[in-house]
Amino acid sequence: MGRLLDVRKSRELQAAVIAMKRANREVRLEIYSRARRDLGGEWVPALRSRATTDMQQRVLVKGARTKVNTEGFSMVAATSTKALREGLVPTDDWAGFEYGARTKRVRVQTSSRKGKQYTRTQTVNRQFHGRQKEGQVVMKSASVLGTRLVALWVRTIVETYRDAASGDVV
Amino acid sequence: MAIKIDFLANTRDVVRGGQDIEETFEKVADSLDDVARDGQRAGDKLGDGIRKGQRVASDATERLERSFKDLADESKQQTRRMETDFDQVANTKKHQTSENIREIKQEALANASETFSSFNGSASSFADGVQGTLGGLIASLPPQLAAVGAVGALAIGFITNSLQQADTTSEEFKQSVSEWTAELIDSGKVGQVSVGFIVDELKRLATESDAAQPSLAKFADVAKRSGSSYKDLADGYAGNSDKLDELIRKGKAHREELEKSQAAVLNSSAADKSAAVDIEGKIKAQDEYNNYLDQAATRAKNAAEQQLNYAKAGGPEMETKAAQIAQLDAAYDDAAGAVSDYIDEESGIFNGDAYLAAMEAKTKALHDYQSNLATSGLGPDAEAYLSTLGAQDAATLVQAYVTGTDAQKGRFQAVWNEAGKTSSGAYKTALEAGLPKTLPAPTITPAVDTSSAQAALNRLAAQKLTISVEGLARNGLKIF
Repeated sequence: MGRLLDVRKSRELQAAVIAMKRANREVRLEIYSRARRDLGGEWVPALRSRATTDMQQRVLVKGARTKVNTEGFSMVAATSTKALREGLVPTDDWAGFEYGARTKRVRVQTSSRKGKQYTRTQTVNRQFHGRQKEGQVVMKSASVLGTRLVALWVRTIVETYRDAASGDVV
Repeated sequence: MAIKIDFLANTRDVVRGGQDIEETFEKVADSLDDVARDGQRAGDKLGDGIRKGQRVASDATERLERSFKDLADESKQQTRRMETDFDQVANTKKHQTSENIREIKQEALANASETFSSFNGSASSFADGVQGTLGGLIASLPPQLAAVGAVGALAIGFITNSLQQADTTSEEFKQSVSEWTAELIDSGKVGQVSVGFIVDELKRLATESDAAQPSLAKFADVAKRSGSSYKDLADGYAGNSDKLDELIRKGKAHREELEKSQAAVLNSSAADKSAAVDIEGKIKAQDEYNNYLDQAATRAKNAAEQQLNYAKAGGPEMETKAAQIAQLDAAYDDAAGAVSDYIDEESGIFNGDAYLAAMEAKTKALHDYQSNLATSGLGPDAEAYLSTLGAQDAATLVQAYVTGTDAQKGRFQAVWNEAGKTSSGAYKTALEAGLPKTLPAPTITPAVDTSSAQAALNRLAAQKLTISVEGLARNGLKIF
């Protein structure tokens, strides 16, 4: 899932992570809420603009948000646990909408209205885009936005610290 | 499992215990000076300077971004090199023996073993370590395997952190209540979260690394010391709230028992009273155990209240109504758009009368449906179910319902109510089936026990390091 930035190899990231760790409760909570707001403000519109179909909006974009904790942050999508019509649960079955799928011709057994059994060929996976290994919506957004989100997160930490020092926070 | 993307690796290494945080911070803090300074300037220069200030501020952020991009590129190249090496070995294998592959596997295992030797006990450092060795493997594991990884991490050993009495007013707690509320509203069940949520919650608890937060490691520890069930606590805390009341009662009863036995020891004539001290420890642990359960109960209660508020505000009805309106619209559109059905095949002439007659009949049916539905007295569950069928089918069903006998009506109601619930009576079975069976109370031995972790790793190695995202639909059909 994407390439991770190794914190050990960047002094800026180390500074940010440690700053997070040593922050007192008020500052930390302020960083959380600012990061949720700022990062979410980049993330959700990015997803929305890449989700080209109604189903992608409903499955992938719904519930997309930023999760923050002391160790950093993560971006989530496809979190809805509520079944759509016909029973698709977004959080379980998002893969087809994110990665697409190749159509396949399969033989299915079926029967006529009078009950006569026969098999016929059916093309499945028609509802999906073609297969795209790198992902179309969420993974794509993540790889485009990734470094920017990290930079914003670092900036949020620095600015919250600065505001805390000047007495603007709580 | 929802999609979750992390961007940072090895954060644990940076803040790992033992080193002086302030000192390390001093060493690296200067790297962010210009971000802070530029931001300051942006804030200071108001008026005509503000535009320039903003530019400077974004310059600093962009510089940061560039440095991260370089870092990402570098690691990409490294990974590519590793991949090429691996490929080469794999290719030579065809000509030589399979010896090389085995070597690589062993090397990966050896590296992982090194990780374990520096393991400090928390599930997260395990994850970080393995991440370092196998390149982000655990983060992208399918859920089944991630659970195996977590169990491995738990079984290795624990740091027994001093447990703080959990604070139910903290911001973290409020956040978790709000997440629960969202889940409750989303699942539409009163006071119950979905099995998927419980599994996610268990996973989160398994990898919780903040010492002040509850985690499975803490649960196991407190359960062991108090002699109460680990599984009950983990289960109840993660959201299986059915049994919470009973568990709390059990927990209190257990505490009373312990007190009694302590009193018995103290009142006995035996000279050795050291057993009482042991029991004192158990009582303390049981207090912590009960406290976790209380916390879970408070959270479930708060979330349920919020859900009720949402319901009182008419949230669910609005949702159903919105869905019904959308469907009626679609039904009208479909009907009116079916022009081609009324064109004579031979002559190619559009039969306007037939079209109008058919449209009026359909419109009437839809009107009837709406008035029938309004007067039907069906419950919200039944209505919600009908609205999922689409207006045409629902109209037929509601017509049948309205003209049916009272006995039939009752049976219709029962069937639709059951179908309308987000999860029907099968919920209990699904719950039991859905809970991971791979999370038993880990055996805690004073010595570091790597066997199950090793087993987990062997399984990882057997995966041949290829990570596939879940491509299975729930019915088992392979999507890709």
